Amino acid sequence: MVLHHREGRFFVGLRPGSGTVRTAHLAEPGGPHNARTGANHFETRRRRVRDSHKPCATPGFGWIKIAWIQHACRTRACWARGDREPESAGGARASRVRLPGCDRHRADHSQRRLLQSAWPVVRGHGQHGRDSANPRGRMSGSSVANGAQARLVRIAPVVGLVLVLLTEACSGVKPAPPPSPPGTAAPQTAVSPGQSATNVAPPDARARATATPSPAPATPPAKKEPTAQDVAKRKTPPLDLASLEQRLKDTKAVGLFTKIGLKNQVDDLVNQFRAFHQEKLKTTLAELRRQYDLLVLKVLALLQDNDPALAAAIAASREAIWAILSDPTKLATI
Amino acid sequence: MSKHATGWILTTSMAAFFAVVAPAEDDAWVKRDLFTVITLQGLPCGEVVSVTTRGDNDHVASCKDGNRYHVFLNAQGRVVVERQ
Repeated sequence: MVLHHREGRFFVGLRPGSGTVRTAHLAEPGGPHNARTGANHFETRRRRVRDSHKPCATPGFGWIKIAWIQHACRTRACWARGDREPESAGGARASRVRLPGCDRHRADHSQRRLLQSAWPVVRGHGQHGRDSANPRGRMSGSSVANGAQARLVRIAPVVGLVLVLLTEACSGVKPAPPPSPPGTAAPQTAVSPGQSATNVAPPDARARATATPSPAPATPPAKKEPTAQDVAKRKTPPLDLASLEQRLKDTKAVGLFTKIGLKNQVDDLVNQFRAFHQEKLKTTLAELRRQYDLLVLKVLALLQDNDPALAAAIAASREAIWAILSDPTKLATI
Repeated sequence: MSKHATGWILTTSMAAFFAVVAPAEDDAWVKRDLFTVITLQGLPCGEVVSVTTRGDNDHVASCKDGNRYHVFLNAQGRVVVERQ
């Protein structure tokens, strides 16, 4: 058995003297058997591939790479910079994958770079280090068993998953819709829970359905500017006091003593409003409003961490509840 | 060790663990509730460090700043916080 060194690679001749027959490749210089540097030749190859794509490359793969490629699909930054499509360092060309929703060339570029990064892993796992297309990447039997190879074999499924996720992520990127003119923006109307969606029609559609066709209007009617009250009325959801009360009773965000204490304070405030409307209490509506705001803030502070949905509902009903409290006729009904 | 013995030991350990953890969680919940009630009344209490239960809905809370409060429900169904 003779050790040869030819063209920068080491070979061991199994039949000395015959010259060309049956030589087994040991390792590349700087490979896993290089005791001086201790470097893994797969790491070296991957770093070489990565460095050749420096302008567009991101370190490592995984979620960062997915996010970057998705960003590149969206912004076309990589393609617009005029980066050249990289050549495969190991001579192995990754197959082009056409991704729906992305520019084909850009997607091929990203896919190929990712495949090139993962190529040693796939080759080492699936072919046990034997790659006829790339003789420089051949591995001896001893290198299959080393720790770096085992680590690469472990992350091979992760790379596959990354590719699948990448395909899904790029297919989900949709072009931004063209901006609609301000006059044709869809109006936002609040829908009450009991109101079905079919009953809700945009005001323009309703106006079109009820309007009779006029022969030729001389001048178009001037559009009425929406007042602040109209906007507030449109944004305020309908008040359901019974539902809010039941949700406050059922919530687990506050304890029993806290609930009873809050109920005591609410009852006290409602009694103050009743006394104010009956002119038995000498105070002002502004003072009652201050107390009301303070109580609502207490409730919101207690609920916002553990029951944010209920806190949002109460905050949205704030003005509606005030409208009831400040109106003696409405207050008498509750 | 047989599978039955292993399962028995595991079940017993889990039961013991939850028997210890559940009251601790209840205690923390009561402390938090009492602290909220005390502060809702506008009374000072940095943190409730210990609770002594006298009966149903009747507790004495000791605060970190040294204050002690008797928190209970009176006959009218109102929460009363008395400083002691």
